[in-house]
Amino acid sequence: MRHYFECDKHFNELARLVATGVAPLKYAYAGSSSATHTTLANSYDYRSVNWDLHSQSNFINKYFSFNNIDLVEFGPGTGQHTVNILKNTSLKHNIRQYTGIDFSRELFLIARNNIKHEFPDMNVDFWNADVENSFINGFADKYKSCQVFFLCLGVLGNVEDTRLALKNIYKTVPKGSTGLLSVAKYSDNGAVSNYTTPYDNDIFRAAALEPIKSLGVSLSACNMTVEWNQEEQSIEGYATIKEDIHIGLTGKHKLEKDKKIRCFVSRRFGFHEFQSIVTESGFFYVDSDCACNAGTINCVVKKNEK
Amino acid sequence: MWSRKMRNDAHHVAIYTDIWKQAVEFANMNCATTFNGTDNCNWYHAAWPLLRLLNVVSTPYWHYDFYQFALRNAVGPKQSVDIAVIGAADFAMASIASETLKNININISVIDQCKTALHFNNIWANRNNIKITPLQLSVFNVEELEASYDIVISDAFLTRFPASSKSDVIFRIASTLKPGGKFITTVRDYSWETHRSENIASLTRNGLNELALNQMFSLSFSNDDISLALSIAKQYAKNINSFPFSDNDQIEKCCRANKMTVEYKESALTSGEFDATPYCRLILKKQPY
Repeated sequence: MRHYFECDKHFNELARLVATGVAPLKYAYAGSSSATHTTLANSYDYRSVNWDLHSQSNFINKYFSFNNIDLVEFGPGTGQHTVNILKNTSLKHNIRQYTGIDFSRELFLIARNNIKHEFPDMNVDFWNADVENSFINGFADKYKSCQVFFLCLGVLGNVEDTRLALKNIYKTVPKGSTGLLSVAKYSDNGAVSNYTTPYDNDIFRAAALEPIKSLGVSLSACNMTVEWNQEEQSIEGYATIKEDIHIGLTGKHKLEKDKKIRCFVSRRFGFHEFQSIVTESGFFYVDSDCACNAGTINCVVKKNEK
Repeated sequence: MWSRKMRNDAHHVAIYTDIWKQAVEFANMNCATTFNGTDNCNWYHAAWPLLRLLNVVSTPYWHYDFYQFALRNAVGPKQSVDIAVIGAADFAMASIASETLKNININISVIDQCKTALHFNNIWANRNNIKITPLQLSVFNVEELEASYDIVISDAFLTRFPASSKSDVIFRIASTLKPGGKFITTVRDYSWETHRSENIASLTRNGLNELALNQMFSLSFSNDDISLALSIAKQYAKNINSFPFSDNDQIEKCCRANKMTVEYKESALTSGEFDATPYCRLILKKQPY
C-alpha cells in the first residue's frame, strides 16, 4: 500500500506533533489513512460502536423539516452515515445544498462519491478546514441568507479539545443555524475490556497507525496498545516506539525508544457534562435525547439570530 | 481600509527580482497575441513578474495544499505521469507540480499562446535543472495534443474568458486529456464576493497599493524602478478583466456538456489580492470513454 500525505503541511505538522507524543486523530483520516479509515468504517466492530440512526433521524424530522435548507456537516467521514440519515429522513426532499466540512480532502472525496452515488442530483460542496484549531473565516458570510442546519455526529469525542472545537463550530455557522450534535455516552461498563474489545483487531490497529507509518515508522518499530482512561472517560490508543528513530523533513525529530505516542482517542460524556459543554460554546440548548439503553447523547442546539 | 500587514509570503522572490525588468523589455518585443479583450498581451506579461514579486496578484500558492492533494490524488500509484500546464502566466504551476511530485517521473509540458510566458518558464526550468516542454499554442488550437496528458493544471484560467467561450475552453482542455484524465483548476467565485473597500477602487486607478509600495522599499527599488513599476502596474490595472461564471451550476453544466464530471469541488476564502476573495477549487474528470 502506498503511504502518503495530502500535502506537505500535514507531513511537517504531524512529524512535529508526534515528537511531542501526540498524533491527533484527524491525521488518521487524511492522505493514505483515508483508505485504512474507510476499511475500518466498514467493519463490524466499528459499526457496533456507532451511531444511533433512529434517534438522530427522529430529531432531524422534528427540527429540520423545512424546505430549501442548506445542510452542513462537520466531519462526515466516509459519508455512509450521512447517506443513511438522508434516506431515513425528510431531508432528502428538502435540501438546497449539502456542504461537508472536514480536515481531510481525501476522505471527503470518498464521502462525496458515496453521497452522489445515492443522490446524483444533490448539490455537494466542501470546505477544507480544521475546526479543532480555528473557526472558518467567511463561512457565515457565504451562508448568511440561507437556512442552515448542521450536523456534527460522532466527531467531538475524537478531537484534542472538545470545548474548543465546539466553540469554533459556533463561530463558524451563521446566526440562526440549528444543529444536531451527537457524542458517545459514558456508561459504567464494568470491566475495562468491555470498553477496549471493539478496538482489539488488526483493522483498527492498521487505521490508527497509518499516519505514523506514513511518517516512515515501520510496524515492526512500534507496538500498539488500547487503554481505558477512567479519569478522562476515554478509550486511548498508543504506539510505543521500540527503537530510536528519526522522522520529519531531514529527520529532524527524534523518537526515542519506549516513547509513547497517543494515536487514538474516543471520549465518552456524561449527559450533564455535555450539556455544560454546549452552553459554554455559545449555543442555545434546544432539546436532547439520552435514553438509558442508547450509546449516544443527541442534542439539538441553536445559534441565536442576534 | 487595508487590514493586513505587509505580506512576506511571496514565492520565488529571487527569480522575480532578477527578471521583472527584463520582462518589460522582452514582453514589448515578443508579445503579439490577443488576450483578455485586448489586442496585445504585453501589458500583462510585462507586469506579471513585478506584480508577483510584490505579491499583489493572485498566486496558485494561495491554493497550494489543494493543488498538492489534487495532484497526488490524480497520480495515484503511478510512477510516471504526463502533465500539462495550460495558460501558464509564469512558472508557478510548473513549480508546484514539480515540488509536489518530486518522487516520481513527471513529464511537464507548458502550453501558452505567448512566447513571453514560455520564456519565464524556461528561466525557472534552467535555474532548477528541470526539463519542461514549452509549446506555444493557444488553448483554441490544441487539437494536435489530443489525449496526450494524464493531468492538466491551470490556475484561475477559466475566468479569463467571456461566458461565450468558457464551454469551448473546457472542451479544448478536455480534448488534451487521456480518458479518465483530470483537469485541476481554481475559479474565482463571485457569487458571494464580500464587500470591497474604497481602497480597492483607488488601487485600480493608481495601479499599486501601499502594501506594494512598502514591498518595493524593502526590496531597495531605486526611484527609476519605482516609476517603471507604477507605470506598468497602471497599465495592468487598466486592462485586466475577469469574466466570472454566473454561478456554480454553470460550471457543472459546462463540464457535463463537454464529457467532464465534477469529481471534487471545494469552496475557499483566500487572502486575496486586496481583500479576502472567495474561490472554487475543482477537479474535473474526463469520462473514460
